Amino acid sequence: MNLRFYLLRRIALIVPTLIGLSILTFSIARLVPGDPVGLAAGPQATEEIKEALRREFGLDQPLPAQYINYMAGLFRGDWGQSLYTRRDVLPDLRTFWPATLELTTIAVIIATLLGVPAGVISAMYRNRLPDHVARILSLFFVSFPAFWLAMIFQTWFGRDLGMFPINKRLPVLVAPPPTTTGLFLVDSLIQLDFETFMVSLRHIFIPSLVLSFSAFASITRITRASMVEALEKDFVRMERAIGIPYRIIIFKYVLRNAFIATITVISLNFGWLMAGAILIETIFDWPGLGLYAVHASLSLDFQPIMGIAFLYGVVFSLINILTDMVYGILDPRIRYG
Amino acid sequence: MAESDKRKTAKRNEARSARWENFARGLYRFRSNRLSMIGLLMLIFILLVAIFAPIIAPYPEDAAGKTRVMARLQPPSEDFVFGTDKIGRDIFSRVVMGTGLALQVGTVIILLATSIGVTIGAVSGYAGGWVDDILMRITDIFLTVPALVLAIAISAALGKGIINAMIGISLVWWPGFARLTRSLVLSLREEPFVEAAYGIGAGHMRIIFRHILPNAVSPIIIKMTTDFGFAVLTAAALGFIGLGAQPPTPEWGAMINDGRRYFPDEWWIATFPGLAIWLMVFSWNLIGDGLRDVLDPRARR
Amino acid sequence: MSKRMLVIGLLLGLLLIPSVTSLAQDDILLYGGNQDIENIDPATGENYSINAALRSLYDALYIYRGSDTIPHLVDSYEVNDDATVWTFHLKDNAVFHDGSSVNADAVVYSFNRILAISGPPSWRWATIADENTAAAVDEFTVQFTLTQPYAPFIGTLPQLFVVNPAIVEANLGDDMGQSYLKENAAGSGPFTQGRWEIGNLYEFIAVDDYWAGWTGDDHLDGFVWVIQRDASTQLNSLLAGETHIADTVAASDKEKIVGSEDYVWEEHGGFFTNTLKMNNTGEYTSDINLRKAVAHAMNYEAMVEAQDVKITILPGPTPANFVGYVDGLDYPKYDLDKAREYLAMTPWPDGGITLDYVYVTDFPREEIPGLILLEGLAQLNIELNMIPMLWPDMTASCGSQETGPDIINIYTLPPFLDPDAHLYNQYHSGQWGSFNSCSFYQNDRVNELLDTARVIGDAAERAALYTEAQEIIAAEQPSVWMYTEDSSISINNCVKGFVYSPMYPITVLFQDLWMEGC
Repeated sequence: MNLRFYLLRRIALIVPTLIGLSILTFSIARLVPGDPVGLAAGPQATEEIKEALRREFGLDQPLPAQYINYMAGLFRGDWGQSLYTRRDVLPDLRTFWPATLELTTIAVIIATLLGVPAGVISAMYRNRLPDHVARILSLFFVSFPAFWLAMIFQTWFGRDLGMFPINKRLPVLVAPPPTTTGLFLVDSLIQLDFETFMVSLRHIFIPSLVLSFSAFASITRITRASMVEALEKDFVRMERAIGIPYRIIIFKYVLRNAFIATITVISLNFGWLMAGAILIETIFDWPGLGLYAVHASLSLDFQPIMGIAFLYGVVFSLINILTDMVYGILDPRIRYG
Repeated sequence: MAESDKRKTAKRNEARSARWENFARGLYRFRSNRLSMIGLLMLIFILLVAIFAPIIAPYPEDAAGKTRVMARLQPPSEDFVFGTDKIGRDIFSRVVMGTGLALQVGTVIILLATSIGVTIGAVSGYAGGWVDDILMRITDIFLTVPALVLAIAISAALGKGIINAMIGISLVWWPGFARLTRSLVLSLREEPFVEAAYGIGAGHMRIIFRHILPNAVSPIIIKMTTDFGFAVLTAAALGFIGLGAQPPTPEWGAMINDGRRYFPDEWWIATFPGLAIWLMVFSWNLIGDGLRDVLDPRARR
Repeated sequence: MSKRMLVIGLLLGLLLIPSVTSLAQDDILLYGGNQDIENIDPATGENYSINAALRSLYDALYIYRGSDTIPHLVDSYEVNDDATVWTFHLKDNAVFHDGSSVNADAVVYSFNRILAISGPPSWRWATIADENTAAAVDEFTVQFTLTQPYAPFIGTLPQLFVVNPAIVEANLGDDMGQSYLKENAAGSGPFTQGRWEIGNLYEFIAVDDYWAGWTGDDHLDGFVWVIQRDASTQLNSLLAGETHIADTVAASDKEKIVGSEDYVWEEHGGFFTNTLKMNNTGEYTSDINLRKAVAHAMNYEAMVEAQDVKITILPGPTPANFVGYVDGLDYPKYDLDKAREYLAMTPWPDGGITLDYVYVTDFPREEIPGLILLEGLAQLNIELNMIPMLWPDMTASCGSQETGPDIINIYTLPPFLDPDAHLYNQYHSGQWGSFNSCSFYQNDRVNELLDTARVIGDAAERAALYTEAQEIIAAEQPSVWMYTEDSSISINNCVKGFVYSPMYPITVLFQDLWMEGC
C-alpha cells in the first residue's frame, strides 16, 4: 500500500472518532446546570428576550436536533458563539491558538533536546552514576506542579536576575510581525526581521522551558529503554566486536533505531503539553488558548469549551498521523497497511 | 468430582505460591532499590503527617475558618514556621491539614479510574468482537483529548467543588487502565489455565475475576502507583484554576493560587504548598519507578 | 559533538543578550490595566475599562472632570418646571472621525439604539424614557421628553456616547450593529483605534485636530491599554519603566511607589461602596432578625486590618462623604452577644443553618470579608458556604428572587452625584433584577419616598425624603453595609495632567494627560 492511500485511510478513520468526540463534548455541555441563557441575556432581560435568545441559540429544540445543528455548524465552520463575550468561537480559536501552538512546539523541542541526550547518556552508562543522576533529575522535575514552577522561574529569571522578560509574547511597543502563520517566530523569519525573532524567542524561552519539564521524564525514560534494547541487538554486539568505535555505533545505528519509539512518546507529549500550556499561560499572561479556556470553564461558557476540546481532538489526531509518517521515513521497513 | 476439585485446589495453590514467590522476589528487588525505598519512606512520612495532622499542626482550627487578621502576611517565624496568609492563617497548619485531603483525592481518583478502566478493559479483551470494537472506540474518543482539557470541561460542567473535580478527573483517567487491562487480558485469555477453567464450566465472570485478573495485577498496580502522583498534580491544577476545593478548605492547589497574588514579596504563601505537592508527587514517582523495575524487569536492565 | 555543543551554547548565549527594545519616540502612554476591554459598543458595554475606552473613542453630551459634570457636546440647555422636557443646544463644530457632523439626529439615533438594545447602560433611562423621548428639533437642538419627571437627568448624560449613524447603518447586520461596534468604534472622540489585540492590548491613537481641542498644555500621541491582571506584574512593569500607569497595585506595595521620586501614588477616598446584599425574600434571610444577627456577626474592625486597600466602614446605606448622607443612623457593630440575641428571635435560635456567600472568583477583596464573616457566623453555629463566581454569573443570579443568593458581595459606584443614583437602584423594588438590588428589598413607603424625591426640584424637601427613606432602610437591614474603598493609582512622574475623579476612581481621563521627559 502506498503512502497516499494510507494517509487517506487514516484521515478517514479520524472521522468516526471526531464524531464520537463531538457527541462527548456535546453531552458535557448539556450537563451544565442552570440557565446559560439567563447569563447571556443579562440581568435585566425579560422572559421574552430570554425566549428569543433560546431560539437564537437553538436551545428550544429537542436534544438530537440540537446535536445535529451543532454538528452541521462544525462542518460549516460555525462553532457557535461565546455566551459571555458574544464573539464567535472559531475566529477566537484562530486568534489564540497560534500562541499556544508556538509555546507547545518550543517546549517539545526543548524537552527533546534535554530528554534524548539524557536518555542516551543513561543508556550508555547504564546503572552507573550518570544514569542515576539523569533518572533522579527527570523524576525530580516532573513532580513539580508546572504552574508553581512557572511562578518561581518567572520571578528568578524575569524579575530578580532580569535575564528574561516577565510575560507576554512581545514587548508592548513591538508590533507583532505581519500574520502569516500567527507564530511570531516563523512570521518574523519570513519577514527576515531577526530582531523581532530574537525578542520573541527571549519571551518564549522561560514559559516553554517550564512547560517542557513535564515531558522531560517520559522522553528520557523511553529513550533510555529503547537505547538499551537496541544496544543488545546482535548487530550492535557484532559491530562492537569488529572494532567500530562506540560513539559511532551509538550515533549511527543505535540512536536511529531507538528514536522510533521515542518519536511516539514525543508526539504523545505534544498533546499533553498543549493541555499543560493552559496552566502556564495564565502565569505568563500568554495570550493563548489557556486564558480563554480557563475563563470559559469558570463561566460555564460551553460553546468555547466544546470548541477547545474539539480543536484539541483534531490536532491530537493529526499529530498521530504525522507521527506514523515520520516512522515510515525513519524506518523504511514499516509498511503502511 | 472430588478428584477434580482436589486437582483444582492444588492447581490454585500452585498458582498462588508461584505468585507469592514472584512477589517475594519482587519485594527483595524493590528493597534493594535505594531510590524507591527513599520514596517509600517519604510516603510513610506523608501518611504519618496526614494521620497525626491535628496533633502536628499548631493551629488546626486555621484549616476550618479561623482567621487572625492582626498577624496577616507574616514571614516564617518561630510562631508560624511557614508564615501566615492574607488573613493570618498559619500556612504550616494548613499545609499539614491539607495532606490528608491530597491523599484522599489521589486515592479516590485512582480507585475510581481503576475500577472503571479495569472493568471496561477486561470485558473488552475477554469478549472480543463487536463489544471490544465499541468499547475501544469509546476509549479512543477519551484518549483523543488531553486529560487535563477534558477534566476541566467535565468538572466545570458538574460545578465547582472538590468532589466534582475528583469525579471529573476519574472520568478522564480510566482509558489508560482500560487499554492496559485489555492487552493483559488478551494475552492471558489464551493461557492454558484459563482454557482449563473454561473447560470445567466456570462462568465468564468467574473466569475474568478469579483467573485472569489476579494474574494481571502487577502491571495494573504499577500503573496505579505511577499515576497516583499525576492524579494529585491534576487535582491541584484544577484547584489552582479555581474549579477544585472552595475556601476555606486547605487544598494545596488553591493555596498556591491564593499566594500567587502575593508572590514574590510574600513568597511563603505559595511556596510551601507547592513544595508539599512536589514531595507527595515525587515520593509516588520514586515508588512507581522502583515498582516498574520490580514487576516489569524488562523495562529496566 | 563538541561542535554541536558550541552551537547550542552560542544559541543560548544569544538568548541572554538583552535586545534593545525600540522605545517609542512619540508620546505613547503605556497603561497597565487590570481588566480587559471586551466590548466598545456604547449600547452594551459598561464597566471601568470599557468606559475608559468609550470616553476616548466617543464623545458624550456631558463629561466628568473631577467631581464636576461639564457640558461636552452640549453648548447650553433648558428644562421645564417639572423636569420632564429637557432641551439641549449642541456645539456645531463637533465632527465624527469620518468628517461628518455630530448633530441632533446622531444623538437621537444613539439614545434610541441604547434603549432598543437595552443592554447594561440602559438602566439609567429605562424607567424614564421610551422610543418617543428623544427628538431632533433642528440640526443642533435635541429635546428629551421624559415619561416621568427626573431631576438628576443631566447626571446620566456622560454615559450617552454618540455613535455615527452612517457607520452603524452600513454595518447593521441583524443585531443593530452590535457585532460591528463590539470591536470597531464609530465615534468622534479624541482617539481612534490602533492595534487591537483581543485579550492582550489595545492601542489608541490621538486625533491631532480633535474638534474639542485638547485641555492640557500638551497631549498624548496615543496610549496603549495593556492588560495586566496580576497586581505584582503591574508593579514590576511600572518600576521597570515598561508602563507609565498601573491601575491595580496592592496597597501592601505602596511603599515601593511612595519611596521613589519617580512615581506618584494617587490615593483618594471615593464612593466605591461594598455591601453584602442579603436576599430579603430568601428562605432564611427574609427574617429581619437573622439579617440583624448576620450584620452583628461581621467583624468590621478585622476587615479594616485585613483588606489590602484602605477602607472606611460604612455608617449606614450612604457613604459619609456622599450627597444625602444621614448622620447618626443606628448601624450595627461587631457584637456576638447582640447577634445571639437577634438569632434567638428567629426560628433557628441555635443556628444549625447554612447560608451561601457569593463573591467574585479570584478576588481576595471579596473573599476576605467572607472568611471573616464565616468565622463570626461559626460562633452562632451558622455555616457559611463560600461560592466564588464570575461576575456575569453573579449578575445573572441576581436576575430573580429564586436565584438570588442568601448573601452576595457587591461593589457599587453611584453613576452620578445624587442620592437618587445611590439609593434608587439599590432599594426601590422596581429595580429588582439588577445586581444593585440583589437584596430584593421591598418597602412601599421607601418606594414612594424615592419616587417622589426623583421629581422634586427643591433641595431641602428632597433631603427630608431621602432621610426618612434611609431611616427605614437602616432599621430593616436589607444588607450588611461594609465600607467605601479608597482607590489608588500609581503613575510615573513624567505623566502630567492627572486629576482625580470619583466618577472613575480606578482609571484616568486619557485626553487630559500629557508626558514630559518620559
